[in-house]
Amino acid sequence: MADPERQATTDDYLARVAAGLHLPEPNAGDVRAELAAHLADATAALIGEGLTPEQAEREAIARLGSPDVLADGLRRAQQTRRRLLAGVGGGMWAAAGHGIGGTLLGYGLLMAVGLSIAVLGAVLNRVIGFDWSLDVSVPYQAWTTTLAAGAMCIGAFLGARRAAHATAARSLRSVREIGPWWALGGSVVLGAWILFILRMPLGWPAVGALMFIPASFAAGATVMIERPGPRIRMRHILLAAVVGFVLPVVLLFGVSAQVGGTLSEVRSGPYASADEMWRAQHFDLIGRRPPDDVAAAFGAGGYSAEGGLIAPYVEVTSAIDLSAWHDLRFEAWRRPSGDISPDPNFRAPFVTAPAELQGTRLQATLRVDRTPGVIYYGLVLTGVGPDGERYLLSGPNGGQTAFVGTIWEWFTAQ
Amino acid sequence: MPGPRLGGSQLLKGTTPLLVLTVIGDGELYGYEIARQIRDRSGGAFAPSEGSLYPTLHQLEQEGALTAAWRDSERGPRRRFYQLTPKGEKLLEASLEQWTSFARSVERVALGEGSHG
Repeated sequence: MADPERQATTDDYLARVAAGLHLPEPNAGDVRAELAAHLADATAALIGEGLTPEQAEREAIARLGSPDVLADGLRRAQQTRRRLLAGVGGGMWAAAGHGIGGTLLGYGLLMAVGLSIAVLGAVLNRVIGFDWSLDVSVPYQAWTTTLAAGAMCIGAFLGARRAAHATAARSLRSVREIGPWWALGGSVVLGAWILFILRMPLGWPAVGALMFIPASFAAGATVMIERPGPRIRMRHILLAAVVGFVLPVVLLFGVSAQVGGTLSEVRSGPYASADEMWRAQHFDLIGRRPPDDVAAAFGAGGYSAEGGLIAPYVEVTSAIDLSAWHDLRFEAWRRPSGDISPDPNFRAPFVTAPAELQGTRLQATLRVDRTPGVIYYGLVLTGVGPDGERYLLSGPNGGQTAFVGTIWEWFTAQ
Repeated sequence: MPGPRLGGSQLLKGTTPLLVLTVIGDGELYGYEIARQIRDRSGGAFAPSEGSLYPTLHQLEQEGALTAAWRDSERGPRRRFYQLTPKGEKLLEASLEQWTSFARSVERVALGEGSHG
């Protein structure tokens, strides 16, 4: 029977070698078993040569040398470049798989949390009159981006964790050694992607959440990295899909964000005169009120939208001599929520485009998704009349937008 | 006053893979037996550091010169047996040739053998 004291000495030595190996457990276990067999053989042989069991064990251990040097030599012998490349490849695969799966899972999770808060808010509203709503100064599309970015943070964390573990396992390196490299490489790549490539509807909450993704990845590859994190399975993704996509679609079905209006609608109101309404509604910021015959000459109008590209048009009747008018242009003005008059805090349109006459139609193309902070806009046709003054000739037609671009474009457009 | 001398370990340095491949070339062996055979065959002249033996074995295994498998041994616990692969045989052949050429060159210089012009 083995002497427990001797066993402890051998175990200590083997434990120190194993600790210095930084290899995954199956490989570390193999090395440990091989060295244990060697020490048993060497000790038995030395006892046969006349040494006491204690002397024999000490001598056998001494012949193997420093556990740290031995561990270093063994580790280097196993860490080949081929293994490292395989590890990086496996890590990238794991990062992509768990990154996407984690994002879907995170989306479902955040949706569930969001829906729970909405339900709680509705209950509190009913019971104690508590009023809560999202910040309306941020477009709803940007809130969607914020939600997606939050989900991507979860995906990045889980993907990084799995990537570090996959690389460590395949390259036979410790996850502590591999993790910081993944944190550095992943956060640089993700940072560049988010800063310069990813184009999404943005607001400050979305920008903050998106910028947190590289940090989340770095944290995933380093913080308590010994724990591999949850393995994402198909049933998790299906559950997330139900909570994150099907349920909201069912709940939000039929909701429309489009609003619109015309000058004729604006004219009706508690005003003594059209001029009084004009000033009260801040249309004087845009231009003068045209004479009725001029206003009547600009007939039906509207616009088509493709993403942030807006194509407004106004039909022109033969009752007006357009040659007396110049600098005809379509202008997009900021407007407050639920109102089609311009926002009095702004003295100029945020985008303009010259109106071109095509047959009987004045038309133009404008981008309304390149100006940070714009949510609701009103489209108007203006022109400089024979008297040299600018008139608001047609509109407004209202719409809703959000800044769409990269984070770099967001900051440079501020 | 004695001048600088080459220690045994310095002479042995670099030859461990050759010695390992040579003894395994005669049949599969496990670590302790490899060390013992090197010591015995050299009449005790070469006693490779057991601490450097295992990294060498693992390195040769990674390079594809050796394969290893756990098997029961005649005595004691299971052992990790090493066997030469065809690549290992070629490596052994090349290493022997290199060593023989090197040893002859050293011999010629050290013992003053060969042509003097």
